[in-house]
Amino acid sequence: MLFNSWVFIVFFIVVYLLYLRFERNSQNWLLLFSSYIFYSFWDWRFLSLLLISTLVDYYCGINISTSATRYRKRILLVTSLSVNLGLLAVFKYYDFFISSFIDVAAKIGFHPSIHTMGLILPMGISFYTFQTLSYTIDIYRGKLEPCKNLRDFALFVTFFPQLVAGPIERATHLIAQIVSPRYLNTPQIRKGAWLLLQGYFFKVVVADNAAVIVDRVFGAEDISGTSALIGIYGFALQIYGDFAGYSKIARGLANLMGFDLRLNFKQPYLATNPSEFWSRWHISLSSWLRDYLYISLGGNRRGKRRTYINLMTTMLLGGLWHGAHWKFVLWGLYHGLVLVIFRFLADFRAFNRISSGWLKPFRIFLFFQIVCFGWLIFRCESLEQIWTFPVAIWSGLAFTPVDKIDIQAIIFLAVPVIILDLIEEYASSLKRLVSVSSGTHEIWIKFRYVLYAVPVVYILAMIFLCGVRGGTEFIYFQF
Amino acid sequence: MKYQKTGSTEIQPEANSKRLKARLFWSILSAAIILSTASHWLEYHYSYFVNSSQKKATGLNISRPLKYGSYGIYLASPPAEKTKQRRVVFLGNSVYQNCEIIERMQIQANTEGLGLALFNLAQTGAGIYDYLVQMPRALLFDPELIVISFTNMAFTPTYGNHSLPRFRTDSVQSSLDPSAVSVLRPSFYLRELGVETAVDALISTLYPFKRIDWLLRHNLDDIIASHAGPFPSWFRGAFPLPRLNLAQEWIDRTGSQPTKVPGQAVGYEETEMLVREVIETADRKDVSVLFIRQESGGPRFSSPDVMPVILRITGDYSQASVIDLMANYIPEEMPDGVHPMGAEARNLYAGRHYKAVVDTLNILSPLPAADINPAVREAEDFQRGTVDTDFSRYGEGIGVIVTKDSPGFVEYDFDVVNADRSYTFSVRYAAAAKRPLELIVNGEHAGFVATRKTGGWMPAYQQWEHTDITVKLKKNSNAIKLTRDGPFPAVDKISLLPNDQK
Repeated sequence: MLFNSWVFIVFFIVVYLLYLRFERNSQNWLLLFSSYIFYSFWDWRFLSLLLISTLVDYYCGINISTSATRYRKRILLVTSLSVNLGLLAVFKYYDFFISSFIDVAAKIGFHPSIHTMGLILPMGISFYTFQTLSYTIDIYRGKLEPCKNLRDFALFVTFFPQLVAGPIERATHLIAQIVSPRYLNTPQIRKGAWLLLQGYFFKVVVADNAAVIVDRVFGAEDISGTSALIGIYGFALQIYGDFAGYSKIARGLANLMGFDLRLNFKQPYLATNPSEFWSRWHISLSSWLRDYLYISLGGNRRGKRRTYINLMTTMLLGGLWHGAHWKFVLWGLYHGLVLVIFRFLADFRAFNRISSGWLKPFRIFLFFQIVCFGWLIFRCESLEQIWTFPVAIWSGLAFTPVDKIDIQAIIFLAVPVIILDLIEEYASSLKRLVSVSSGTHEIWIKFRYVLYAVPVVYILAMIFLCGVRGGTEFIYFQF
Repeated sequence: MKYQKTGSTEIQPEANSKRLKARLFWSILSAAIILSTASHWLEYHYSYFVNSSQKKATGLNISRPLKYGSYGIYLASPPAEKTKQRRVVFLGNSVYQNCEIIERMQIQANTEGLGLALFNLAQTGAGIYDYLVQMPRALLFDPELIVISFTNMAFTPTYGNHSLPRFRTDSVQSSLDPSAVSVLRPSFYLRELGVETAVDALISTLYPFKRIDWLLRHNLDDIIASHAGPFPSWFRGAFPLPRLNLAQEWIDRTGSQPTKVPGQAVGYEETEMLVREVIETADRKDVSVLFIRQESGGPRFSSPDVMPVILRITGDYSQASVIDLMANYIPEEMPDGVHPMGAEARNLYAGRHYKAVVDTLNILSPLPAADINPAVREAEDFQRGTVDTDFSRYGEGIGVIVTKDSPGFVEYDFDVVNADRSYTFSVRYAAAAKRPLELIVNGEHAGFVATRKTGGWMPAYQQWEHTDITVKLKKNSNAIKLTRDGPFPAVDKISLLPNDQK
């Protein structure tokens, strides 16, 4: 069931109306069953994987906390890791590695008699696997008490707003909300509704319309320099609209039900360096990788060389998390390399001097180009295609009438996104500006409903007029 | 637990939450009910566009241009009044061509006094699966004959190198309408409706906004196009609204180019089963089916030849027949890239379709005896008058009455078998300026006809229109007089038909 489908909208209205009539205990049952229904709409057979993951981590979690010996705790942790990562490995990576192995073997004249299994990738498996892994690891590390109630734990694994594409929640954050009383309040409902609106705008207007242009550019056999640039920038807009849109919808839905999900995107294209970018883009994943992989590898505590290796390893695995394809491995390596270069340059005073002050917009622009090259690797149809784009751009820019329409469309889609991001980025400064003098404060009080209404009306009109119907899938569902 | 909101006012979060929950519950429930009711109203309102096309097809008074045809087949509903007319419903492909063709056929049928009502439920880009789902809606019209005009492509699963969706229009949404549930076989639902499709169809039944959403947006698209307003001129080009033809939208999205494929194999394995299901669905309601192949597979490309299969299947049923026109609606093949929507209506012709349909109907049931004889007359066949006739200036075979003296009049005698019935008196005319004619029936003023300017009457820019008016007649002889204190419009034909046979 996709957030941008009519079926989901009706599903949520029915669930929400029931939710509002129930008390916490019944609410949790309702949310659990609705989450299973939500997932079954995609393929009910894969509910079994969710249940396996839930039961294994529930019992491992409880037993880890009650085990007296370190050895037994470790055995239980390894069991949890093996089951979760095993399922992920089989369903997501088995075919990829086997087919890669067969290709390499064939090149050296060896033909092994092993075959791929042609498995379907279960929707959201990477997300809920990482979520449950963090649970058992946190218990093992002594940071978390296990959840004693199976229903509440199952709800933590399957909570439908974030089940298939995150944010990847931590047990410390979400389970606490599941087990304790939830009270609705007006600012939270208002915030949820606003996030929902923004999310749908990002997805069905921005991402899905940009996708039409991007798919055409990346599907073309021969492209010009201009259309190559349109394709790359268009995809940067599309993937942001798509994924941030999903996260906003997820957070908005959760807010309406009295939950608070983690912030997943924080104006990522305003980053000036890779560390900042990864603290703004898919925050729930990058912080997971930092806490459970990078730090476990030693982080930056074992010297510069080891730090660089840890960064590269973390980003490579982060890339592979996105999909079983060499382009994602390459994309991870590329970002790892960018992180290493920036970490290396950070030791030079001259580099740090241009980091601040009036050069910031220039650095934002520059780093955006670096990110966009990464998106080219991410989006390309084949590894060979990666080089055709820079070559096309190098050969010159010529504008056809179609290019002009595409550019206008991309600008038309990007401008509201930029405005929304800038407002969010500088919200506290804007608030200060409003409250600094009584004059501006009075104007704000007088016209605040008009100022609230303008973006709401604009977004609703755009969703109605330009929103792509038909429930196109979110890009991150494939991960 | 207590917390400070503002100042010293203490609010219980639990109580506050309860109040908010109740408020939200009732607000959302009310909003859902209001939206559902509003969307039913909107659907009813927008069904006007479909009904206007029917009106255009069935009546002589064409007041509105076709905008949407029967895009939303679920919107098409039969006229409320029961008449003695024999009804023919057109299904299948090419709504626009069918509209033009049906209109011309209707005018011809009216001119010949055949008592036919033709309805257009065709859908652009439909395929054989859509035909089956269109059937229940077509049967609601209580037709004597269902005409399915098809292309080879409707029976083939591919377009170029790409596979096409089974349901290529939104017709699948009407599969859960009460009319459909009683007509389609359970095997259809078991075979075709997955849980998601079924839920989707159910939702669109409860909340029709879902299915008229596109229709509304297309209408808005037109408004935006005609009044640029705040939207820049490139807006529409940049954001083409989704087409109502899902197959075409799919093709556009994938950016596939049409390729010519050799015409040999039949596409769907299920073709035979589906065609039989269509025929048998009609047969259960005692309705005949006429398949008309429009051409060799659409105006832009060719598809494998499906005709041998259709011929073989229809040969098994006495109530099904097939004709192969093997020619496009459009005399000259359109260049690649031009959608039929863009074709000029005047390039379409209906002659062969008309003959085939009328021949089939005549086999099904002979013509009823005429109430008035002759019901349709050339305007120049008048009994009395001060007007001239002109056969030379209005095109081949067209004779008209024109004014000789002013004031002028022309009078016709009609013998009527049944007394005290209401009749529709119609005039086919052309006028470069407003020249209304006063109608006098048996010496009494009955109103005005030919009141509008049609555009012109010379062949180069000739525009004919029909105007009609209800009149009361007495048994046996009636005198109908047209008079004007000034020049007459060019009047070509008149007709007088009982209202229940119009």
